[in-house]
Amino acid sequence: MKVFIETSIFIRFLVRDNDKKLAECVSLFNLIEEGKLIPYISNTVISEILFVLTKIYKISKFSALGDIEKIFNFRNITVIEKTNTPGSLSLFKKYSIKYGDCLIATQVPKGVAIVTYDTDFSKIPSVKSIPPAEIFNSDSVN
Amino acid sequence: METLTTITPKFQVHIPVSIRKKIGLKKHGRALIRAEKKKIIIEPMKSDFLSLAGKYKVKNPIPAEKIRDYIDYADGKR
Repeated sequence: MKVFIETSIFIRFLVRDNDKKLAECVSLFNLIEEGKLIPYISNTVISEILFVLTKIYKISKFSALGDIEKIFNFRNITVIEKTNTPGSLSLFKKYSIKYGDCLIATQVPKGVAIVTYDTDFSKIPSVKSIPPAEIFNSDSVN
Repeated sequence: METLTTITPKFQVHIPVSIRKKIGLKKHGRALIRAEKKKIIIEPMKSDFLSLAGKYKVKNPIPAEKIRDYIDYADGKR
């Protein structure tokens, strides 16, 4: 199963503010390490993680960078570098969601589900969004 | 501890249960493999990133579900 890991998952994993969700994220990343999930991320996700850690949580730039560099060691990771501005603007016009959601939604490759805690992605019919807990019930990881 | 195993025609190696138990290897995954003279050393790897779980404790956490309500894409000096 191919999964695009969205920013909220990384933030829930790095910041200890909800133990249940942290445990879900740990299980999700374990499945990746076991090769049961093929992970995708994007340049937008990286920039959002950096922003949240350094600007909102005032974590030092170098500490945040060190954490982010470790993401690139994930088994089978693919980093999507391209954005689709016309596609993002079209989604932004059509649905009542943040532009950042649109930018990410257009980066998710076909046939890849986006794993996220952000329910706004479910408003976009062309994107299959699932919370981490749903992954564990999927046949492809059991 | 030592035991016998087989190297397959595709050079795959099975790690026997007794060896797995000895080192507490319960899950499959990646391993670091290196050669030392005539020996092959296999070392199971845990992702560096997994060790970061819950690394930061913050005073006023934002709801990760609505993270983009807090992200200013125009961040910079104005």
